Amino acid sequence: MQFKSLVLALSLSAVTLASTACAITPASAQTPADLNDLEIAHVAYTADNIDIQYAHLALAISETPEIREFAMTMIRDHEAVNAQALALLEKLGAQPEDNFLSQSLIADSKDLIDEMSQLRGAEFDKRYAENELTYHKAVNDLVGNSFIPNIENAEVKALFESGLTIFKAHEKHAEMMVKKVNGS
Amino acid sequence: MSPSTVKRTVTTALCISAAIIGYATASIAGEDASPSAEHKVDIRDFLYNPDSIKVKVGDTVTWTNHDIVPHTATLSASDVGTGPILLSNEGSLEMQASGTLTYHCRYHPEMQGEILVE
Ligand SMILES: [Cu+2]
Repeated sequence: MQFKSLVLALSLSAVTLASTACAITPASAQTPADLNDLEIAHVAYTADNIDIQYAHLALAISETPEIREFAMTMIRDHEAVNAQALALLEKLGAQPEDNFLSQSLIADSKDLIDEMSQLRGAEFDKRYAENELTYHKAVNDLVGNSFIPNIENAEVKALFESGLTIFKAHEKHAEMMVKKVNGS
Repeated sequence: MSPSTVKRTVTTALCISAAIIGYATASIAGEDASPSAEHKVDIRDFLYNPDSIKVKVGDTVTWTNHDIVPHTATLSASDVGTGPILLSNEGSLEMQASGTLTYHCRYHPEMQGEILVE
């Protein structure tokens, strides 16, 4: 059945994104497509905050102007999106709901922050830029293919569509950064 | 600051004195000097729309941001810009010299636009 293979494809991308936590869960476990609007909102808010944390790490370590400007843009933009998301949730009288995907995103990000914290100079820049590209690609895949088709509330859906446009621009920007740090 | 643009507040003060002189001149010469125009550019989904506009020297270009995130319109040659334009806000620049000016967003370098000043 076509729907089932779609769900499977989405779970696979979630596995890539969320790594081991997903891989060991049984077949009946939740997939990103099973999340409700408030859980989806929680994942998005979490994903935004993770990228903000990566950016703060970049500002603490990197001395490369382009990397620093990129990091400042990530903070500025993800904070703006989060402010809109919180305002909308408040208007709807709703609270975001914690879930398996938010938790595995946080677990993964902790490992990555530990790893990147050890790096300095060009090594850090390269790792940060590459991770920004990978991270935005994974989140965009999740938002575009899994979240937006499943969000029920029209206003929440519209906010995610705006968010996707922003994160796709970040993905392109990250691609430019990767080329830059690799000297091409 | 580039000679091609000045901040809008400065321009306003200059315009007032220019208007007084201009009024006297016009009444003598009977000239009808064309007033400076304002040109609107929308910023939506990380695009300037239109991304290329034609204006006359003395005209103002005003950008309105419809995106959640802040953008700027910053002239690439001189680095003079609007500063951050937040959601539903505007930023303006007055064009003070002829030429083709390319501009970009300081935060999102892939955003590019062009102003042809005649
Ligand atoms: Cu921008």
